[in-house]
Amino acid sequence: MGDLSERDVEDVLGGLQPPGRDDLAHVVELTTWLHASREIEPPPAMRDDLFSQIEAGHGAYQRSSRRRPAHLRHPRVGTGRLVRQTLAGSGRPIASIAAAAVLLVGVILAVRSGGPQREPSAFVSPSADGVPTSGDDTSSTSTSAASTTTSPPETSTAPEASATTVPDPEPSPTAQDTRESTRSSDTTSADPRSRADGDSAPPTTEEERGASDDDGDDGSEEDSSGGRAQASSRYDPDDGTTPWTLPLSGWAFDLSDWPAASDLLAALGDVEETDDAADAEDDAGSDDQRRKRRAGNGEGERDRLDEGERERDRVDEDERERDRVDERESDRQDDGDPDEEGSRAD
Amino acid sequence: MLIHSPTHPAGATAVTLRRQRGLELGRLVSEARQGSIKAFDDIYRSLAGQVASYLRWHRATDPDGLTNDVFAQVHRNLQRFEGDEHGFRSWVFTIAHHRMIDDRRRANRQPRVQDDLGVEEHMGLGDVEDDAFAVLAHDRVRDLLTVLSPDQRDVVLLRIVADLSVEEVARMLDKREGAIKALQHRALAALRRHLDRVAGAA
Repeated sequence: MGDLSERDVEDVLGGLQPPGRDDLAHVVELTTWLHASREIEPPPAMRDDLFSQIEAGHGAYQRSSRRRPAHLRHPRVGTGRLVRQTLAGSGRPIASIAAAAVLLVGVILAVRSGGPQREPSAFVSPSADGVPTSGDDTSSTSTSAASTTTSPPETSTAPEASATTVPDPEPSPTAQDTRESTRSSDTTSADPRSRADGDSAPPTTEEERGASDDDGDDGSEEDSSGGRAQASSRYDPDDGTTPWTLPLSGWAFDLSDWPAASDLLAALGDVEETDDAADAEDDAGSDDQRRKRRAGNGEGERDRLDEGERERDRVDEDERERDRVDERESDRQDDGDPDEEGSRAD
Repeated sequence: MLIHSPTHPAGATAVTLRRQRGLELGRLVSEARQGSIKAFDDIYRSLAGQVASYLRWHRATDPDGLTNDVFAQVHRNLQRFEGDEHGFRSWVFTIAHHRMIDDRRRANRQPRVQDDLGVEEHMGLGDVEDDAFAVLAHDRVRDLLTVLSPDQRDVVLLRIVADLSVEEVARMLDKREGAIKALQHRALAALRRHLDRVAGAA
C-alpha cells in the first residue's frame, strides 16, 4: 500500500494510531491486542527437568554425561605419525627401507644402462658363444665365466675347487657367489684376508687386468682400492666369514656420487652392528636368568609339568623293560625244562 | 470495537516501563551468568510468558513445553552469551523461533491428534465476561494472522510480541532490513484490506 508511510507502520506496530489515519483503526486494535496478550500471558510452569537443571548450575555442563562415540574415544593416529613412531622405535626399518630404495635405484640404473659390465651370473661370455671379443672384454669375461658353465680355458682353477675353498658367505645375490668363485680362482692357497679383499667390490676392468697380470699378488691389490681396505678390516678371521657390503663403485652407475646412498648404507651398517651386539648380549644371558624369565612368564609351571610327564614316561619304560626281562626269563625256563612242562600238562 | 482489549499499554508509560525492564533484564542476565539461580528464575518469569505467547500465536503444538525447552537451552548456553539486554532478548527469541520451526516440521510429519486447548486457562482474567471476550478475541486474532504469509507473520510477531527492532529481526531471519520493512508494510496493508472487507460485508 502506497499510502502507508514508514512512520505509520511503526506507530501501528507499536499499538498507536497514527494521527489522521482512522482507516487503520482496526489494524491498530489488532496490534494492541497482540501487545496486550504478550503482557498478560503468564509464564508457563517450569518443568522439573528445567528446575533441576537450573539448580545443578552451569557446572553440570562442564562434565557431560554423554559418552563419546567409540571412534572418538582414542585419539586418531594418522598414518604419517604411525610410520614416524614405528621408525622411531628402531633404526632397522628405516635402514631397510633406505637400503631397498638404494638397491631399487641401482637395479633400475643398471637395467637402463644395459646392466653392470660384469654381471657374472646373468652374463654369458661372448667368447663362449663364439663371438670374438676385445682384449679388455676377454679379461673381464675370463673371471666371470668361472662361475658360469662356460668356463674359459685360461682360468687356472676349476669351478669345483672354488666351491671347496670359498667359505660360506652370507646370503647374497648370485653376483656375490660369482665374485667368491672368481676370487678363489685367483688365489686358492692365499690367506683369508687376501680372499676377502676381492669380496668388497667387483673389480673394475683395470683392477681385473692387474689381478690377472699379477696373479697372487694380494698386497698390491690391497693398496689399490680404499674400498677393499675397508672390507678387509671387517673380515672376521674366527669364523672365516666376510660381511657383505654393497660396493659403491665398479658399476655402470656410481653410487658414490650420490651422497644419500653413502649415508644410508652407513646407517644400515650401524644398525646391523647394534643388532648384532644386542643379539650377543642375549646369547650371553645365563640359563638362570632365562629360567627366571620363563617363570615370570608362567612357563616355569609348564616346565615342571613337562618334567613330571617325562618322569612318568621313564617309570613306564622301566616297567615295560622289567616285563620284557620277565618274559624272556620265563621263555628261557620253558625252553630249558620241557619235561617239567609236560608233567605239568599231564 | 473489533477486538476487546483488556489493557492498553501503549503510550509513553509503556515505553518507560519497557526501558526499565530492559535495564532490569541486563542486570539479571549478568547475575545469572555468575550462577545466580534466582536471577535466572527472574529472567524466566519476565520472558517466558512472551516466549509462550509468541509460540502460541504461531500455533505451536505445545507452547508451554517448548518454552521450557527454550529456557533449558538458554541456561545451557548462557555462559557463551555475550551482549546486552537487547541482545539477550533477541537471542532468546531466536532460540524460540528455531524451536517453533522444528515443531512445525515435526507437526507436518506427524498427524495432529489434538488442537491447542490451553488458550482459555492462560488467557483467563478472572471475569467470565472478560474471559469469553478474550477467547473470542484470541481466536479472531489467530484467524487474522492466517491472512498473512508466513514471512509476514514472522515479522509482525517478532516486531510486536518479541518486541524486537527491525535490525534484530533482520539478523534473526537472515534478511536485509529493507526486506523486513517491506514485509511489515505489506503485512499491515493486507490486514487493513482484509478488515475493511470484513467490515463492509458486515
